[in-house]
Amino acid sequence: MKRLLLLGALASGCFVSEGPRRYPSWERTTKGAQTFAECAEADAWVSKSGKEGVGIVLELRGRSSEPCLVTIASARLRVGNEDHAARRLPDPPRLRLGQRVHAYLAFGFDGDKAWNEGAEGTLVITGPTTSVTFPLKQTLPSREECDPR
Amino acid sequence: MKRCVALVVCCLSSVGCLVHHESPANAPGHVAVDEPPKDLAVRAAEPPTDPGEEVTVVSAVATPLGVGWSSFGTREARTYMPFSLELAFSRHSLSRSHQGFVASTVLDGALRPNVGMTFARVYPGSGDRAEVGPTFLELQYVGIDKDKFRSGTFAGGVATTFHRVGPQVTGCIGTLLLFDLCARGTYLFREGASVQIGFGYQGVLEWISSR
Repeated sequence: MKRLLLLGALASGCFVSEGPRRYPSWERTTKGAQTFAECAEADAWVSKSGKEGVGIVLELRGRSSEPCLVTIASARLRVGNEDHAARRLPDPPRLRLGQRVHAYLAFGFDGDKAWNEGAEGTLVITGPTTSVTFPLKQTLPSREECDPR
Repeated sequence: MKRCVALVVCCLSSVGCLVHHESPANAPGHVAVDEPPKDLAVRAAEPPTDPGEEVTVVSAVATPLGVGWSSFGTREARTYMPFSLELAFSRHSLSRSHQGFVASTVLDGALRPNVGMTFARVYPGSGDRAEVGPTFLELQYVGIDKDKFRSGTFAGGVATTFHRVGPQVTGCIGTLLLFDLCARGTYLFREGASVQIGFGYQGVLEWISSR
């Protein structure tokens, strides 16, 4: 009977566990800019990531002493087996040496589905003659990276 | 007597107390993906907005101490000690994530199913004869007055012994999510009425999942 009473007392404990909420997000798996066309470099990073899709900032930097027009023919994001085109392409900038121009590319897709499937992504920016590729992955920040609310 | 003490211990240990569990699975937040960030040169992702959470609340109530009268209102009315366990379920949407323990907030005004069983009715004397009581399904309304740290429930539904069936009503008042005093009336057709009063010991499990 004593053992039964002790078991009852132990089973009546409280368990509370909670930390700040962490949001899965997309990020590039590589770093650095890539040569795009002959007169520019292209760099990219994720600026928005969520249920509605991903927003990516594309940075173009002139690398030619002569002014050159950088045209983006297409911007596509492959998520798992699905291909998504950017909702709007930027106007082609005319770049001088060292000049930086930023453009925003929005890709709409089901972020929940992509997270649940553990999908990986690839951003492909295509110009008239060349293209650059930026691989992406989804990560969940560690607890230390999250600000408690 | 030993049987009664064992039943009390089983009742209390089976419901635990307050358990708050955050699902380890996560989900992305909301973003306005068509709107560019304020500063395109910042090389970091903007934090998404909170999509909120879903919470499933399960209340377990054990009645380890009570008294009842079966065949109430007849000459054969008998006194018994009821031992019952019941579970009530509800699901709620939260607009913000990680608010801590939320049952005391979301349950106020909730209408939820409550299923339970009087698993033993012990008749004192004559060798402490025991029998299985009715199983019941009720629709329960919950009211909470957090300022005064008290709560109340009212429920109505059906009870059955699997041979007899009939209506049942239950009312409880008590301290918030801990102890309450319940009165229950049951009428089983072709068997008769029973009423019982008992102290309930309440455990609450809330399971939080991301939206």
